[in-house]
Amino acid sequence: MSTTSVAETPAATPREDVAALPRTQHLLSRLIRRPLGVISLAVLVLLVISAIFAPLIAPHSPDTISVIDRFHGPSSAHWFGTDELGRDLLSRLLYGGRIALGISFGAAAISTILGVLWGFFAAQAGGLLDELLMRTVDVVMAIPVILFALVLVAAFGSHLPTLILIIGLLLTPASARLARSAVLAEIRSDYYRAAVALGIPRVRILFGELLPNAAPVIIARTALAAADAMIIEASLSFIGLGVPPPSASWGTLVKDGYAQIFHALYYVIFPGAVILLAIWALNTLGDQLQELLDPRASR
Amino acid sequence: MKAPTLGTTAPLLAVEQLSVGFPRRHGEAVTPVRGVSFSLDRGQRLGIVGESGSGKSLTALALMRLVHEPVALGGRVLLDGTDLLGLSAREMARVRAQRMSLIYQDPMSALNPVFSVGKQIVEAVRLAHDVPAKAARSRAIALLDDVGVPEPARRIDSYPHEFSGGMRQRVMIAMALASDPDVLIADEPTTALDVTTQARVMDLLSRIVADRHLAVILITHDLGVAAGFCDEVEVMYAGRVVEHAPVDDLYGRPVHPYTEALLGAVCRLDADTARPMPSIGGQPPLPDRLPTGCTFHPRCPCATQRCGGETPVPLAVERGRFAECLYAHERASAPSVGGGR
Amino acid sequence: MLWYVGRRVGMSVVMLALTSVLIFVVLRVLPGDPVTTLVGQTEGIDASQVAQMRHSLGLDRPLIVQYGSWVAGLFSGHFGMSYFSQQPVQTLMGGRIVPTVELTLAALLIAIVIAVPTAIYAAMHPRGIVDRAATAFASLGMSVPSFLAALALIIVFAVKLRWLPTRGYVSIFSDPVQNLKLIVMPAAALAFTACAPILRFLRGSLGEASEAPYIRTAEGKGMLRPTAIRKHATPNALIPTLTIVGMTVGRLLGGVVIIEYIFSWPGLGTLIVDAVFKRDYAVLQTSILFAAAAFIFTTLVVDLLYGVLDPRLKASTAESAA
Repeated sequence: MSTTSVAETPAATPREDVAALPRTQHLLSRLIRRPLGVISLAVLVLLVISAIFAPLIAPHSPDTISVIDRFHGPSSAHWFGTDELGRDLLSRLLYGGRIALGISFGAAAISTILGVLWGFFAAQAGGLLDELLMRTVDVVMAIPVILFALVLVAAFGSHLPTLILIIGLLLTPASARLARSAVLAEIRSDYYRAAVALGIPRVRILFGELLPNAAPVIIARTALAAADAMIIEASLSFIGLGVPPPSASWGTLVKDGYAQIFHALYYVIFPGAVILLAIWALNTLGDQLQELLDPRASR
Repeated sequence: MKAPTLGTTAPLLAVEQLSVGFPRRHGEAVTPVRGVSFSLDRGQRLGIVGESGSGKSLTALALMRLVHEPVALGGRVLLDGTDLLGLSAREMARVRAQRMSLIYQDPMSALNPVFSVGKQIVEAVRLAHDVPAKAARSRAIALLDDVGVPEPARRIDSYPHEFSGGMRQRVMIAMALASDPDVLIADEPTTALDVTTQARVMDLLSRIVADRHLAVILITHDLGVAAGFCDEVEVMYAGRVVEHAPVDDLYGRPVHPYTEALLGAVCRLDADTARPMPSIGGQPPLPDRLPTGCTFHPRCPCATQRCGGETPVPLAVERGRFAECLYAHERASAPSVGGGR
Repeated sequence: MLWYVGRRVGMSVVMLALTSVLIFVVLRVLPGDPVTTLVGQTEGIDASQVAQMRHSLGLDRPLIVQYGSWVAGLFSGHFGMSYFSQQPVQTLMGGRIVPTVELTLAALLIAIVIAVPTAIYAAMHPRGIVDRAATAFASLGMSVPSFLAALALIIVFAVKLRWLPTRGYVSIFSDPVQNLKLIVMPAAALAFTACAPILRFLRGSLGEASEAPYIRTAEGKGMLRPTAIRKHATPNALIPTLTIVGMTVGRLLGGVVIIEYIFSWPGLGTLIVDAVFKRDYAVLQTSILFAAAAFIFTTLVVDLLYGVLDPRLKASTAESAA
């Protein structure tokens, strides 16, 4: 009779059986193995750290005016040069990072939290309420984001907390849509139905099980939202409707630099490059995370 | 219409030790098809039968060199003496355009949903020969008529989703014939169809093949379909041909235990419904985890110690038939072997 | 079919109405009294003058009435009175619509003309040089805010090379050459950011379509693979890309504001930015609504185009003969 049985059917892992989406730590370890993932993460960490420790790293105070030192190009004393008031550009950039990154992350956090609540609630409720909530999303998204931002700034001003709130609210609908479809997918899974059948209150299921499973998708979206937030804030600051003086974000620095474009090119290039770098890093991080989550990603 | 070739010694299509290998990043390549050989002449009908995963569809694609890269094809595929595996991409494209056609399993996905069927058939016509558009269109209409599509002049501008399954398959056949090929390969042409439509499509194929004196390779897992259509049949298991015989011999007196088991597993109208349906226990092996010795031995009811150690080679048991089993000769001559009748 | 079109148009109208409510609420209801903001800095204005100002601007009527008269005015071409310039809003907006449309369309055209052939070529030769360069370009393009793109162009072409002017406008009908010189940088800056998402999506869509069975069928008929991708995958991939193009128009409408401001392009964008600075809500209301209307209209057109272009959606009574 036959001896060894060799054939093994490949183990099927149906999504419905087990909460199969990778948990966050697992995701992180996989991210590190991809070159773009590492680079974008490293860049972000670098930017965040330099922003947090700006007071310690900055060679000068960003506000020190020194008329004799105006428009010095990059030198050993001033790595990025000085501006029209003799202020050290590197220091201004470091401090500006606190504002730019602060607004970007703050707005992204707001949009994620509100969007997730909105989307979860809609998906969970279903029926007319779901329809209503999603139509609201459509209506809000009918107005191009930057225009809506301008309108809200006109109405409510642009103090820092207001700005964070405005941008956060503007990015919420997109997060809501994503959160809703992520939740819908989970609601159709067996483990959800099992939990409901066991009598676990919906809210607990929501936060205990659905959220951790949808977390990777939501984290990816948050990174992209942060990138969008930075684009909005930088654009607003550039035309003078963003961060109000005396604070200066990177966008404000580009604006100042643009005014001096015939005196000093580096003044506009450095902040511009940093903005580009930050947005690129956030976008790439978000993309890499999304690719990791998409089972079809083979390219 | 092709006149039968008289007096040619070389067969139209001769396949020698065809193998399909996929290189892998770590470790050895996986070879889901190993050592397939047969020859085919005009007017002949060869059937390749086997379970899912036996490699039969892959063989069909390999003959046309349509397997997705990266892939390593071994052996030789001689069409009128020319080895297709050695041709450049352009030359092979011309062979596909003019000499060989493939009919696919699922006509809905094999046809482009945004083009009319007429456009797709005309494309086949014009890829084969330099034909002006009007003439190509008339030819397309004639082909649709030939395969039994009603109102061909009108339906030619319809889209694939506007046809039923059976009609779509007929369209595929028309498209395959558009280039006037010498060799027709049909990969599970009736799998997606219901039984009555199946019968009709097979009848159509039969008539067309006879009319045009084509060489046909029919790939199927349905033993009944193969029995009704083919002259010779090859049985594939786990990437190898385990038996090759004229159809009556194969079904009447199977030699290889796998063939025997397959035939025994066929559901018969006169079967005793009280007894459980016979089936072959276990699963076919994965191409990267093949058993030692005979690939079938873990599931073979007649396996011996030898079977796990020695690799069988094709043994000719009669004229025109061989089987890949260590005990092929013994099984062929034993009078009581064979239960498929 | 007609029924479908009618329904879809109806939905757009409802959307537009709801959007107008949203804009009105955000601008008028939430922030409170605009008059206080207007007179905020001015000294020596007494209560009766404030009341008179409020009355002349129609701000003492109930909100519903204000909303109603605004909407009614939209249909008759009277968009209200600017809070600042003593001019009717429609006059302020009128001459500026054409330059904005010109710029937006030019940018869209450039973006499509660059993105589509590049994506197709990249898909025809996957992992080749063009494919890799295009992917990198798209990734970059999505990370560049339009103002940075504009700055880069200005630095190169205006500051360093001094080939192109950075401000001004001339109608295409009066001086086409000058119009072209003036429009190329702003349009290119806008196009850069619009091109990236279209390129990326189309390339991805083509990549998926390249794996479809009908590509293999085309190869089986004797077509070379790149040709098969070009002829067979492209129509299938372009259809869903339409949606992305629609979304891009939305982004363009936002970006055009910034770009117009940078290049002093006399369009709706500069009008809007000025209105924001001055808190001229009357102008803002209608201009923003126009932009939203343009976006909603674009989405409508895209949806209807789907019905026309995708044969599977054409309401055909499927005649299936067995």
